[in-house]
Formats: sequence, C-alpha cells, structure tokens
Amino acid sequence: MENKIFRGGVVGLGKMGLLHSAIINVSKNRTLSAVSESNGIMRRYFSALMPQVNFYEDYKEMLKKETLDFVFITTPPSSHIHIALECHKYNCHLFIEKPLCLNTISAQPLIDALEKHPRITMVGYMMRYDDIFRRAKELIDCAVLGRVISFSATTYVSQQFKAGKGWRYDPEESGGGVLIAQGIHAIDIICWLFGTPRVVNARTNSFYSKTVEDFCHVVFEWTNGMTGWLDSSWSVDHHRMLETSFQIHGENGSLSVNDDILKLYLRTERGGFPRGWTLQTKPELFSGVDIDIGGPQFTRQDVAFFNAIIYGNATENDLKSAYAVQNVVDCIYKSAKSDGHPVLI
Amino acid sequence: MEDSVLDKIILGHNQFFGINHMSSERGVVREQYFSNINNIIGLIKYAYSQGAGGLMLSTHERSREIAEGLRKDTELANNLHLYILLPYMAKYVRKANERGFVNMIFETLESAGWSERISMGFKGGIGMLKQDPFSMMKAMIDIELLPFKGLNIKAVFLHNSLTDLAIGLGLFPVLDFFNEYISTRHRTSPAFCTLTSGLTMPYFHSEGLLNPIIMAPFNPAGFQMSPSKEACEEALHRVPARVVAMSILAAGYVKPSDACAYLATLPEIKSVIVGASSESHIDEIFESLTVMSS
Repeated sequence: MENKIFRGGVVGLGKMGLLHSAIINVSKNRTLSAVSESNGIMRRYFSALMPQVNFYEDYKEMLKKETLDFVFITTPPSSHIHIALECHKYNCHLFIEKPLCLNTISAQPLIDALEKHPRITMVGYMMRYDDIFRRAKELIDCAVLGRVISFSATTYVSQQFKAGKGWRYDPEESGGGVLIAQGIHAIDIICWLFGTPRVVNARTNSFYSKTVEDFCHVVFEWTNGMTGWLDSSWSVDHHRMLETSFQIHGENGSLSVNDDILKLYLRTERGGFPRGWTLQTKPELFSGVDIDIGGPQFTRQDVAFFNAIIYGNATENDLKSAYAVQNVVDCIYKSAKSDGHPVLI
Repeated sequence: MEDSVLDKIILGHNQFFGINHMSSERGVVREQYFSNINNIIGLIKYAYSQGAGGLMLSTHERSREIAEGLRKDTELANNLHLYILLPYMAKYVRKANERGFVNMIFETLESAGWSERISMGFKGGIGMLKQDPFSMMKAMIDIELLPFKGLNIKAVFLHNSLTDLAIGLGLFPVLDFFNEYISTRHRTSPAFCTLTSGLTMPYFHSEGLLNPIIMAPFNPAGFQMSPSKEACEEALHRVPARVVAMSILAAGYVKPSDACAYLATLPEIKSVIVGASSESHIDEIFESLTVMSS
C-alpha cells in the first residue's frame, strides 16, 4: 500500500477546492487525477493550466470515467450528502468540507451507507490540527486543570456589515449564517475537548443579513454539571481574520487559548507544570508541513486523511464526529427558533 | 532586466494594518495608533533615517493613503524603495467567503472605474478576461498596483498563499507569467514570497527560473519554515537566489540579538524585512542588524 499512488478527485474548485488540490499534489504517493467544477470559467482556466488533470462539468461523469481512491467534496453544503453518496457507490474514501450538511436528517442516508460499507471519512474541522488547540486538548486530557467546570468561547470575524448576496445567505443552501459557516469550528472544538453537551439554549440575531444569523449566543450544559457559553459573530469590528478563543476553568486552574497563544494557570503544580503561569505561543509550538498554503493545520489535516487511507489509521474528525457536531448545531437552531428554550441533545 | 540589489533593511507593513501574528489584541492597539496617517509616515521617515532603504507595502485598503503620504514627502518619494506585496489576501479571502471565488475576481475587476481601466490598458472588457486566465491575471495585477503608480517600486512580490498554491498545483506557467509580466509591463523586479522555501527554491531552480528574489521566514525558532527549518536552510545554501528574510523575530518570540546571531550563520541572506511599531523598537532591531552586517 505504501508504494501505491493514490488517485484523488475534487468536486468544486473554489477557494477550499484549490487549497486541497494543492495539498493533494505535493506528495509522491498521491495525485490529483480529476476535478469536477460546474463553473465554466474556472473549468476553462484550470483545464488550460493543468493539462495533466481531467476536468468535468458533472461529478457523476467524473466518477463514471475515472478510477479514484478518494474524493474531496468542496461544494456548498447543501450538495455534500448527495455527492458523497454517489462517491461512496464508487468506493471512494471521502473528505467533505465543513459543515457536513444542512442538518442531521439529510446526513442519515450517508451514515447508513457507511455503516454497511465503511470507507475512510473526514470532515474539514481543521482547527483540531492547529498547534495551539492540539496542545490545549493534550492539557485537558491529562487533567492538569482537574475537572473542567466551565468555559467561555468566542469566534469572531469582521466580514458582514450589510445584507450579503449568494448562497451563503440562503438558508436552504447554507443551513444558516455565522454559526454553521464559522461558529461550527468552535462547536467542533467544544465537542472534541469536552464531549457532546446534554442541553443547549441559544439566541440569534440577523441584524445585517436578515435571512441568516449574524450573531449567535449559546449556553451549553453537560451531564456532569459542566457549563459553558459560545458567542459567535461575523459582524464585529477589529477581527480581520477569523479568531477563536476559549477561557476554560477547572478545579486546579484555568486555561486560556486562542489562535496565537495558550496560557495555563495552575493553583497547584501538576503533570509537570508549575504552580502559576505557563505560556506557550504559536512560534514555540510550530512544526513544519509539506506545504503551507492557508495555514499548516490544513496540510496536517489532509495528511491525516491520506495516512488513514494508506495505513488504515482512524481519523479524529470523521463523519461520525461531524454528525454529532451537526446535531448540536441543529439543536442550537431549534432553541433559537423557540426563543431560547432549552433543547435536549 | 539586470538583477537589482535589494536594500539590506526593509521596513515591514503589518504593524500599520493591525496585523500581529503573536497577539491579535496587540495588533488592534497598533491599528488604533496607526489609524492616524501622520504616525505611519513619521515612523517610515524615522526608519529611513536609521537605515531602512525600503518599505514593504501590501495592497491593503489603506495602502493608497500611505502611498499618497509618501508622495507628499519629496525625500521619501524619491529615495525610499517600495516593495509591493500583492494581493492583500485577507481582503480576497473575506470576499471569496461571501461571494465565491469566481464572483470575487470579476466583481473586483468590474469595480474598477473607467479612469482606472484606461490606465490599466483594460481593453476588451470582462468577457474577454473570462476566456483567458492570463488576461484575468494581468488585469488583477494592474488593478492592485494602481495606487503605487509613479512611486519608486523596487520589486513586486507575489503573496505566499499564491506562490505556494501555484507550486502545490504545479502551475509553473503562472509563476513564470508573473515573473515576465512584472518585468516587462511594470518594469520592476518580480519576486515571490513563500512559507515553503525548502520546496519553492529547488522548484524554481528545476524549472529554470534562476536567481529569483525570494522572501521567506528565517528565524532560530523555525517558525513558519516549511517543510522544516533544515530543509529551508539547505535550499538557501544550495540554490542561488536573492533572499529577503522575513519573520526573523518569529512574531516576537525571538530576541533581536538572537535573530541576528542566527542570520549571521546564513551568509546568503543579504536583506531582511522587519516590522517595528515605534522608534525605540526600530533602534533596538536596527542596532542588532547593524552589528550583524558590520
């Protein structure tokens, strides 16, 4: 298996499709064989520039004509599940960009198909491969904080200050606004760090976008009594890039994490960490990757997917975990629709 | 075009736009201070007086304002070399998130006014650009460079996301096109920013793009040096190129003296780009750099 060249396809050559295509291409044991893109301009441009890749307008035709080991699905979320089901019929391993789908009901046929005929799956929750958030996960798992009692989290970007145009603002196509587009990364991190919550209450505000939410405020509760909240918006000032931060409070101290720095404060020495502050920054935790395009976390994520295909490793952000994240999102929207009524997950 | 000699010290631009890779909060505080254009021009003037022969500027929304400020200062306008980094990726990523990749490109082009289109030699309209990727790229480059027209541009860098994306996709013709177009149409040196110099430099060499200008991170922490610090150093030693070291302070993690001691072990590096947000910061960094080069 290690010497085999794995042939990949990409469905949807937008920003994320290009990024994953480049990462696919930089290793000797995998190759980008085919791309399906419905937009004629993109197809014309890239078929001229990449003669070694076969371009298709229709992904079904691509699957019929090519023999692919894996497919990256990077189209708008409303199309993810039916494309994935078709790829599954052709025995392809599946990488699906986040969010997995519009809601859990729509994902059920894919879950069922994978139960009967398992393939390697991954959903693009790349923050799990960020150096700082990985370090935070290690610290929580080794219980230096003791039991986690509570957390607060924010995910902000300065993006939306007027009504937008396009599929992102059509809930039938996108599933919702800032929560499902960007806040969902934080939901994934929350589920990854603390497990699936028991209940959520949420409120949303669609000040600019009207059709989808620009602000989302969520309160979570777990069966062990742990609580936390998330505030997510794409309509706040002073965040030129998407920034996610967590303040986690435990029995033995606290942990503050954002895209740049991790700050651990312990009331008593534990797990090799001293009493008081321990700081770790992005430069300190950095490790190189084959190619760094949108951030090393994207490359690490894709390499983990390829390694799962080659060596049969388990993937962390697989379809099952993404389904659980989607279920939390469904419940958040349900709660917001009922004026913040608690919804049991 | 002859290979031009790059300035030893180039002042970076991130601090002016609130970009701080170590701390977003610190970035916001700096953005507040530099919201006054006089504070930006004042710091550029000070850096120039202390030995920075060049200034890096991305095609950020505020660059037009900075370019205007430079034009008003005869000494800076005549003598300070500009190193342009294009495009300003955050702007395009935000637009692409909202509108999709294709819409983002054509809405940007369509937003150019008539006077801009004429000065770009923008003929044939959007329809023609949709047929040919190189025509589209020409128009995008021209529109990005408009604010700097008439200034002393020493080199135009392709943003690392695009350089590395093109290399990943194996699109050497795109990189070669950029190289040619910047030289011939804009009559300045083409250059490439990369976060993967260990891969980029051998790739350029193997494709016949010789002695390129490369801007890449070099710091003792190995921060942003992919595939690895060792691979980047090895490529630097092996592949002839004019290299501008960036991220030399690893976003503030490395002390200027340690950064300079490390750079002193890499004699191939003749030029560095450093960000500085105050005169005292400039004094501290430039002093270490002067010790290194003396």
